[in-house]
Amino acid sequence: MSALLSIVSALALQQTVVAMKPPVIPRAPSRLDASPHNFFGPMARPMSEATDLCQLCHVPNRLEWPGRGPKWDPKRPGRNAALDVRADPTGPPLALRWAGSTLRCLSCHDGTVSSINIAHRASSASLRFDGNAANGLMASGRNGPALAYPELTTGPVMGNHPVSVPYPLDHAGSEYKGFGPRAVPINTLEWVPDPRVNGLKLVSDTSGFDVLRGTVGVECSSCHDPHGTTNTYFLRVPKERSELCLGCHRK
Amino acid sequence: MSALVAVFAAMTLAQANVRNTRHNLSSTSSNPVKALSETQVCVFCHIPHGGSQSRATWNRNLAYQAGGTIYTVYGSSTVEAPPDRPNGASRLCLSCHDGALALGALLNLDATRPATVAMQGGVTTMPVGPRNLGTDLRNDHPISLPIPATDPEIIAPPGGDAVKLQVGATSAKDRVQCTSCHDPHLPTAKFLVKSNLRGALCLTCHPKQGWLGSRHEASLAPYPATGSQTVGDLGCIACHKPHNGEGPTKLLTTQNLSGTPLAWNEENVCFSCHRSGGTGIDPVRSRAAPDIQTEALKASRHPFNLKLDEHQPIFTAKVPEPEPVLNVQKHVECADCHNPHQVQALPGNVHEGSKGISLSGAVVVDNAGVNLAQYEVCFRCHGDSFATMIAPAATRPPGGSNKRLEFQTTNDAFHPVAGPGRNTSTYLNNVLDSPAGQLVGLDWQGNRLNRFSTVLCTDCHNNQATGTAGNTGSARQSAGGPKGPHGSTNPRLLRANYSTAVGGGSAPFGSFNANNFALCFLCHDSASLRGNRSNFFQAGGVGAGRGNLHEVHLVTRTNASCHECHYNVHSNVAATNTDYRNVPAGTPTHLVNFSPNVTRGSGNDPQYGDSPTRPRWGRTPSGDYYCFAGCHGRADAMDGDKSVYRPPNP
Repeated sequence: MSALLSIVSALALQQTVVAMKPPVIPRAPSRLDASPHNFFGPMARPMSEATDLCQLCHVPNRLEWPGRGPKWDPKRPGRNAALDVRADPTGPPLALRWAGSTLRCLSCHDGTVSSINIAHRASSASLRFDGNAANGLMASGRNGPALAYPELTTGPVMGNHPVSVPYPLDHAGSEYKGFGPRAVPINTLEWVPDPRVNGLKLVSDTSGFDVLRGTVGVECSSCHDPHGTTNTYFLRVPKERSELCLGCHRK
Repeated sequence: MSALVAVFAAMTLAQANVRNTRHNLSSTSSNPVKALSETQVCVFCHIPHGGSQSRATWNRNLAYQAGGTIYTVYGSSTVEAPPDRPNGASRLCLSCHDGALALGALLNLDATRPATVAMQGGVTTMPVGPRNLGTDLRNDHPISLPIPATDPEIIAPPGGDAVKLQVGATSAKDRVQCTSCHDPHLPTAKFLVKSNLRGALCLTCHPKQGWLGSRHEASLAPYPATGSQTVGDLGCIACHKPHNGEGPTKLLTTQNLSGTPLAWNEENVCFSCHRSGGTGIDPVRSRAAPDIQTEALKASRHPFNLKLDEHQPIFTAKVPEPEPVLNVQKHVECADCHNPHQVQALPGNVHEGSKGISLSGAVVVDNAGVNLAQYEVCFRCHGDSFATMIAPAATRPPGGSNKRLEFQTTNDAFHPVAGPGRNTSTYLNNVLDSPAGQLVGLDWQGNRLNRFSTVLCTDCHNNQATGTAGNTGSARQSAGGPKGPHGSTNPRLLRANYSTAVGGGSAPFGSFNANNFALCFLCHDSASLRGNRSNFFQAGGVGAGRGNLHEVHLVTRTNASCHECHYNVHSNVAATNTDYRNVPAGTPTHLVNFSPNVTRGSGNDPQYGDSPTRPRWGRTPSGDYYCFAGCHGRADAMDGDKSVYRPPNP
């Protein structure tokens, strides 16, 4: 009953947002302000188009300009293929097609796209930040947040936790982004039935809000909240005592 | 309520995880080896970003292992599939357990690359001990090896078993890795994926034929002797040690749970239990493991202890027969005669699952359909290959003999090892199965000894405890033990005294003493032999008519010893000092063959007029038996017709 109410109210809210042009208003500092994803620095107030943190990733009202789409545009997958997670160096890629929210993360974090390249700004000039590569790409390697490391330039980029992969929610075999259930029976002793109770996030294959067993997977956002958390590395759960890892892995 | 139950269940499950294992190196654990301040658990092995190029986003730099060349891999003469250099998941384990890389040496920690986590107590690499395998992996169970397709005793674990081969599409696929037996996250003893009680873990891949129900598997003897765990409970690990075994190969251990560890020596694997106080008393059998170590220290013994190297186990199909002799110092190992995976206790087959050489010289393997005869095991060394297998010894006749040929049932005379003897006269029965009851002996199968009985090699060659007074008949029927040709205080590993001294009028041959031939008299009743009940008989009217000639030779005249006329009691085949004259083929020669001290008769043979070069035994032209030897040339001995005798029933 309460779920129904909240859906109704969310619909009403959305209609209000669409109807109104967003005003430029002062706002209180958010977790995003305090996070490394605040590329304008903590003192950028009040909010304006020039200092809008959201526009770095999000287009208002899902507006897209033809030919000037975000770099993570799924129609241009070649720009996002640098990260290649494999089970082992000689095996096939675990995920060839990046999908879902991970694609958005990789638009910066694969190290091949300019760190700041805002789609709908009148000028496409990249913003530069100290410590980033001179070519405007996200710095990689030591201290860099990009996932390609210079010492691992040969062969596929490995050593990263797999993403865009199914999760056995409630120990049910899952099909997610074209990856079917594992051929071998799921070892129920190895997986937490529902990591969401531990503060982690699962993603639905149908991009809806309903996370149904059999169609759920793990993306970057399962562990990271790009809008900032009270933990390091945008982690949804503290890494101390490995609470994060053990939120899914029953080891 | 259900939520509460779920929370409680989750808490219970949370206890049973890697945090409760020795692999929790975080500072929050109570383990002896842990970090100074790092609280993360997983990070010592895994990192979500920036791991090495391997499975499991490994957080340790495996570059130092490149190609695995720093490792010396397991090798054994019997290994079916040689292991590769460590690959796959095993490399991850080795990145701590080879002792080369510091435990805290991580690829990545909080974006610091590389990073080093400080450990408490200044620990850097894996502390020296059983968990530090080193880079020499020869004494560890092989890893990164495929399952051979050819050996029914090495199989892939069945689907769904906790024991698993590595998955994945790599060169490491379908191979045995550390993770086949150990799950590094599991809070079990030694991280084992399942219990190894009674060898359950090992038997998953090693279904040793005949193990179930074997003496070792069924043993209820406590080991250590004062413990509650039995030999059968320990299973494989009573003798094998999958890591850091004392033996150079085959993962054998001389751990001796009942005392201080024994030095490495192949026989000491067995002697860990098979010694005085090695195990406790098996309540069903009312005895501990037989003390063979004491046997192996006796004056006469199978030479267990001559060489420190291993012998190929008799039960492997890898080694041809005869086994190649690799060194000049000939020796024998327990596994040359016994298959410890299948052995049964007497009266069962102590050679169950072993290998031997048949009377015809073919290799025979004991299995469900074939019961190996004891002599077939003996023929491995004492048969065709005796000259290379057995070192010359002072107690061995010069040149030795091929016992396989000695015991052919087509020979003219032989002790009935491979089949009933040639001499089927009732007079032989008189000696073996005395009607007067002086000697009541049973053969090895429990039947009254008679002229059709067969005997075992061990009926003569056995522990002297089986040949003491009263223990007549087969050694199998003796109350003494432990049985078997392991060792004896008597020369030539004989079960009872058998003197080969030559009578000279003084002790021990000053007068007849039955103890000089105690061995023979365990089966051949001395009273009957010396009464008028043997074939060696000179009836009135024949020769000197002296009656029982055994009595004459042994007692009344010369105090000869048995072996002067029956020098080789195995058979007549190798007789080199006897001239058999006019003995029709196929007639028994009664094991007559003269010892080297018996000289040829002087002058011409009165029966045939010739002059033989060796002492002669045979038939006169008229068919009587006679001797022509140096003994009878002596002044006090008979000659001529006096040496003729006529067995009443040849």
